[in-house]
Amino acid sequence: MTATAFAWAFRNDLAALGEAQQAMAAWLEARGVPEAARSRLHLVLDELAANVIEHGHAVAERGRHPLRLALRLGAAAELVLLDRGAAFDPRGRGGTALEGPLEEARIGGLGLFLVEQLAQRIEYGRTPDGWNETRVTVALPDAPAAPG
Amino acid sequence: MQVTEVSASLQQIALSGFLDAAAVERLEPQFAAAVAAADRDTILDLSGVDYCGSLGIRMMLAAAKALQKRGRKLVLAAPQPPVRTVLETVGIGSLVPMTASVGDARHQLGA
Repeated sequence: MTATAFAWAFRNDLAALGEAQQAMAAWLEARGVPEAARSRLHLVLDELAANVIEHGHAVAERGRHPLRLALRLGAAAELVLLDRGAAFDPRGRGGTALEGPLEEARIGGLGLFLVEQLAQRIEYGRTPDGWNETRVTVALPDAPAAPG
Repeated sequence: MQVTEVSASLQQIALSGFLDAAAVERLEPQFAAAVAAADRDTILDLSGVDYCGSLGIRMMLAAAKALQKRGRKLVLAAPQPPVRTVLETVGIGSLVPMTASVGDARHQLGA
């Protein structure tokens, strides 16, 4: 299969994440990736990047730091997110599903739980020049129809 | 977002599109205000929602908690299958009732 890769650089704010999502969705749709897989990748990018934006940098630094997204399609989809926020290894940090009663329930922290449920594999490393590199593999139920 | 006052004790809020992080950031102030302004049980009509991530779920849980403090209820109604799958995966049903249709939600609230 022809190597198919998508790359997008954006800043650490949620509006820029929204633009990255639109660009990734259009790229995946053009390659015939089924909706179920597109939706999973949307969720993985959303949760990882929103975590960096909300917790990886100080609120006063919103919009000032780069994130880099790379996506490769093969037998599975591999999504790589690079960020320069505080070192954070997301593996095993998802916790458990919600439990009642409502008044005592935690209200945040569900994003990594969802990523763990959807991902085949999550890898993490800190690069020597200070980037978090999070690599998530997501199953592709059907092979993409039009590589390139 | 569309808010409908059904009766003195019930309102319905319809959300639509993608409830991802960027969309929730735009929507949340307006949504929280609609929940806070009305002393009514609230049906959240999810039939037009194509996607929901954790920040959307957090927004729903915050609304349910705010309503519960005033003795009111939130019911999540009519999620499409992909959204329902995400909501079921996080186990939201143990905290907030979820129904297959808006009619079922009204029935559950005795309306």
